[in-house]
Amino acid sequence: MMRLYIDPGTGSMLFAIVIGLVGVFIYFIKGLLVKLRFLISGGKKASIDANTIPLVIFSDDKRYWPVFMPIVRELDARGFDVVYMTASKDDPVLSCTDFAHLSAQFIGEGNRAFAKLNFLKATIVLSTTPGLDVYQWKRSKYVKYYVHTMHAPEAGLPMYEVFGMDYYDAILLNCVHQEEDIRALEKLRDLPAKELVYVGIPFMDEKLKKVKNMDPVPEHERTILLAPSWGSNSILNRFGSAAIKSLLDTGYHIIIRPHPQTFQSEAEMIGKLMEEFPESDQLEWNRDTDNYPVLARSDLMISDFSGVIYEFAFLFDKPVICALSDFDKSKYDVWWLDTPAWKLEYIPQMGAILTEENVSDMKSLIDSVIDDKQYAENRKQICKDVWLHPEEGATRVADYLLKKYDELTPSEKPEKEAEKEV
Amino acid sequence: MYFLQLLYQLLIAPLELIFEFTFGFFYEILGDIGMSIIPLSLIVNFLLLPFYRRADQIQKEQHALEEKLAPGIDHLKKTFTGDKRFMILQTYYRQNHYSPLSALRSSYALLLEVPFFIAAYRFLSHFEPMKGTSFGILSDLGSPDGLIVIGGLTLNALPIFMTLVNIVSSKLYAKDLSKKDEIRMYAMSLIFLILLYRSPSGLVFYWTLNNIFSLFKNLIAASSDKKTVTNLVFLVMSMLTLMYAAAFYRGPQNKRLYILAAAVLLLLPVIYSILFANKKKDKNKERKSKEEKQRPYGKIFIFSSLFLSVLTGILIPSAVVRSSPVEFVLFSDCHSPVRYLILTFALALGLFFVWLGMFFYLSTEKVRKYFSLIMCEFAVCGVFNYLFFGKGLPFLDKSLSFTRLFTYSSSERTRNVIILPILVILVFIVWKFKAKILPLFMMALALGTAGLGIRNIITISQAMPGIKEMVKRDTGEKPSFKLSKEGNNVVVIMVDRAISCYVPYLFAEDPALKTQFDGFTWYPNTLSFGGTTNVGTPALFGGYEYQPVNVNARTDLSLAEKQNEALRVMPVLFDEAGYEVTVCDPPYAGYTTPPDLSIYDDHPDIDAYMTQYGLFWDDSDVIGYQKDIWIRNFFCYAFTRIQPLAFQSYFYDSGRYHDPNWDTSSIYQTQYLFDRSTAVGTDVDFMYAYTFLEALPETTEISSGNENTFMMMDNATAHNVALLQEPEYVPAMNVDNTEYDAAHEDRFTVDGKTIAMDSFEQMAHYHSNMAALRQLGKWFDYLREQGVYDNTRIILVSDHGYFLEHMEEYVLGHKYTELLGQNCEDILAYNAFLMVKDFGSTGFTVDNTFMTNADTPLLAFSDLISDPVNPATGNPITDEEKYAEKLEIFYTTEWNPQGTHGNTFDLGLWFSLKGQNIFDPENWENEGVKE
Repeated sequence: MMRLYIDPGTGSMLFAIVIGLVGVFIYFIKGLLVKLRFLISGGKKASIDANTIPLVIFSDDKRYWPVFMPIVRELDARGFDVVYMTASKDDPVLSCTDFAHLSAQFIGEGNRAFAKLNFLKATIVLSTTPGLDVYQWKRSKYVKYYVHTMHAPEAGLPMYEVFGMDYYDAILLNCVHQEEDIRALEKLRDLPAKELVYVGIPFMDEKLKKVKNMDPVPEHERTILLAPSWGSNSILNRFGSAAIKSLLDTGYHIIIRPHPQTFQSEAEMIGKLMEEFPESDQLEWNRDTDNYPVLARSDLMISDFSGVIYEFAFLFDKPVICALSDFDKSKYDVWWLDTPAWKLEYIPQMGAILTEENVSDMKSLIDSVIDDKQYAENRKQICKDVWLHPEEGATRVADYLLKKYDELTPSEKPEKEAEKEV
Repeated sequence: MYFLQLLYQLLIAPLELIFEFTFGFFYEILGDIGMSIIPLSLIVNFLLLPFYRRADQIQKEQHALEEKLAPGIDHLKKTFTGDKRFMILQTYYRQNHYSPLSALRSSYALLLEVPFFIAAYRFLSHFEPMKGTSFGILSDLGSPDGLIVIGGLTLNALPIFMTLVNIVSSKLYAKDLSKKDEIRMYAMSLIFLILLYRSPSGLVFYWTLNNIFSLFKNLIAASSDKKTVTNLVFLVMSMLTLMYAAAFYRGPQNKRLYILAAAVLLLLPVIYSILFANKKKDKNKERKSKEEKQRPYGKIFIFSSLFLSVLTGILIPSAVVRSSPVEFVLFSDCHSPVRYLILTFALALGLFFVWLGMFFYLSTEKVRKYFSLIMCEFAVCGVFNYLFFGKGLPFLDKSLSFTRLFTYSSSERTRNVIILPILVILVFIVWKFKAKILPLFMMALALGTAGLGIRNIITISQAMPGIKEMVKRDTGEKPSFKLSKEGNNVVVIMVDRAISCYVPYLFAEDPALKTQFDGFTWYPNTLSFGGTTNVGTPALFGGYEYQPVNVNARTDLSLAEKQNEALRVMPVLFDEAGYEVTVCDPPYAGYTTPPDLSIYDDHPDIDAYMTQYGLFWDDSDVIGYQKDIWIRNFFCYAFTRIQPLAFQSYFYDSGRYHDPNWDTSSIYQTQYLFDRSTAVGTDVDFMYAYTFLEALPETTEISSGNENTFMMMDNATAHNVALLQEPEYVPAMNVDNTEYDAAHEDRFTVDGKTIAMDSFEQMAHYHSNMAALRQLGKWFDYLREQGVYDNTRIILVSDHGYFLEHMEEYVLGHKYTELLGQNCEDILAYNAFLMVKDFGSTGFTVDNTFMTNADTPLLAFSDLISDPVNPATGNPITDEEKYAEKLEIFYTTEWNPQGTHGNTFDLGLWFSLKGQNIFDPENWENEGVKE
């Protein structure tokens, strides 16, 4: 940083001002360019609806429909109108006819959607999209309350990109550590305290219900599921054929279920592997849309993708092995905190870690994990910590939203009630 | 453009004024331009200290914040790219209350310094008097010093010295800074070296002083014992001042005292810090200050400064313009004077509200408290000074300088000195015990003043259509006076305010006049019925029917209508008698200035001209100069008028208001009078009138035919008086008659009779009368050359004399001086100038027959038009009334016809004269004031 000699009588302050002005000018131009790009990509000021919508759910991607669906269903059951705005043209919600009180609309993709949201008139907006008021999505001055809900069980706040949560008014929580982290960030950034509500995880409740309703899995030989993600740090890229060979050497039944993206981004690599290790009685390459049957009949999962590990551990209560690569925290809120990144801290407690050293002897690794009591106990405890109020998520969210709505619209209370209060 | 000008008036012009008045103040004491730059620099730097401190403080805060944020910013910059990076950084800045935009916030205190910088630069880089002035080793403050000469190479030493000081100063300031910042500072010093290297050494000197000031400031800041060092600095300054006063000062003794006083003043901070060094703060006091905090000091300040802005920016200037709007309209650049009033208001607002407000804002709580008191005192005393004093001030001309020396009577001064302290104490008591009512009181004053000002502005605006009409009518056509060689030519020239009693002295000093005025008869014993133009002219042009008692008797007509009637008598009768008639500047025609020539519209053969504003109106110099004066000096005049009377002449500064750059290159300006023998510049109004007389030969058109002609004109050379260069009595840029006056004091005694010639005013009248007669004499020479002198009857007549008290024996008393603001009991004020040359007459004779200027029409008609009858009233024009036992003479304070709509002359003093000799005081009876 520069410090200037600003003595007035000598005129040097003129230079201080010129330098200051140049800096401001550059910053201004940059801001203008960002704004311009926003405008060009459809971010024009959208017309404002005349009426205030009681509750808007905004989803920036179709994949979050399962996150919101249980909540919508609960609200629908209680007769509360929900306007669902999606930025995905092919969002399943658009064709959903199950709920009388749901009205879904596609509001355009990307900036087009944000432009609309920036001038939205609503009492409450519920969303799972991080970065409100940081990126192009700004808080609308016609919205009274922004509520955030998580879209992954482990999605503790510090694992969002920096400032992801900061400008929501309320956060719906499922894990004991989330509150500590949020409060720590608020303190660090001098932000007003957010309303934190423990609600559980509605979509996990949904999944749990599904798991519980599944037909019992028939007796089967010991089955190991390899569910790698994609990218340079994924198991297939890191260990390649060595991992598969080592797995086959265990003699157990092996299911490999690569991330769908692998077939697009890493077609050559996966093609080679599938050629090298063709399907056999011992080896399955699985690409089913519904992964539950596969999960159900697997006894252990090996993955480098935290989301599926948590789901597998929590829903099926089965052991896991994780290939944790060095995690770069730079982009995330957790970088700014002294507290540990819980979702990473928990994983070694739930199962072993696959490394370059032990990859050649998968058998010993799997055997050491699969019946380990400590791991099983840890798994249960962690599930308790992370997944509060299981099977109550949707109810609690709906309770909260309705209560909040009443709070925010006191004048609209029926007269009788108001009289009672007097 | 106008908007920019407005902004300039608001932000920069107030500071320039401060510079100019500060400099003017010191220059008056020290009498040395170079020396005066030193206190100027000191004071400007002290004024800037609060700004500097605030800027430095903000910069430090900003710097600390930036240092705190640096790791975060670096991290985010490394982690993110593109628009995302920008938006994330934006959020980070927002969360930390930081914005690169706040670089601007941090520089707001700096930005406030820019106007100071511009004002100082403008002041010193355009400062004319600096040119050719030496100071110490600097031979010319107006050009680079060129002190070092090596071989054929000339180097400027002062900028190099300045840079050295700057580098040392930067070094001290930057002692805890990075190498990079330090280098940047040196680079800046070098840039200034380049920028100022070729500047006038006076400017560089000022800049060097600023740098030395900074050096000491930084020295104090860097020292461990700030107090001792500060005391030491003040001590040294005091010693230096003392040394200068004792050993180097060469000016007058009384001013040496001022410098000694300054040396003592500089010791005050030292004494204060020693005496009150270890006093701990009294807890009670602190508690008290909490109570005081609830007092509305901020509001008192705001409304006081608003009130002062309205008073000096609107009310006082608009009252000046209102008295005669047309004088403040430039004919070739015709705009409503309201535009100058708006600029004046901007200047006043800029000074009182913006800049003083800025200082108020930057002050500590304690200083604010007293600041509010001072503003309040200033406002109350100011309005008091303006409203209750200055009734007897001389006329203010359109250049905003007084037509006579600007002084108050001693009784007014005494009253002012007694009343002001009482007022100050009263305001203090209210401020101390009833502070809450002050904001309301000030607001009420501001609103009331604004109301009055707006009323003035409305009146001015209402006058504008008429003025515009007049401007349209003024084609700029130069007059042409027709005289014929064979016919009869009659010329009536009213020489406004020509002083009859000068004639023997003028003719004695310049014997050539006697030859030039061959054929003239001078009538010393001539009466005027009024002491002012509006009362004197009706009878002069219309005869006895229009002496003031008769004017007042005809209550059915307005004064304007009667004035017009009188002005038409001679031109119409001559026109109807077949004369070729030319009229020039009929005074107060239509009761406006300049005159409304449409009063002759029903006689299309009468050629009427308006030359009152000279023949030079397209001179862009005049326009620019006049505008500049209005833009700057309306405020200065107003500011002068709100001062205690004792200080007013300092601010007035002989009409210059400390404008350092009054234009010495143009002759069309105001004359600045120092005493009865010295002055600088020439008066624009005098020049218009004088050059008109000078140009008479060129504007006279002589035909060889036998047609009869009549010419009637008014000239103000003897009215718009100026000091001229003797012995030629011509206008000059620098008038210095000291030697000539000393050597020729005896010229004011003729035949044992002496006229007093002590004041500048008496002298300027004498000069201007001489100039008028000389120019007329030259014209007569021309007429003689052309062979039209003998067949031309010439009447030179004045509408009144003037209150100059040249001869004590003619002063009837001073009973009414205070009330009417004029020493109107001087007989010579009613002594009209009258000289008549008839066809073919020769020699110069003096005739003591009793005459009045109402004889003019009959003198003109004599033998040419028999039994003349006033075309308006049908009454015969006679001089019967001249022989009445008693004649009634009237002096009025309401001399300005502008906006006068009455039918009679009202407020004033009446005299009666019997015995047909005006020079016998026994013949005069003071009839007192009649309403």
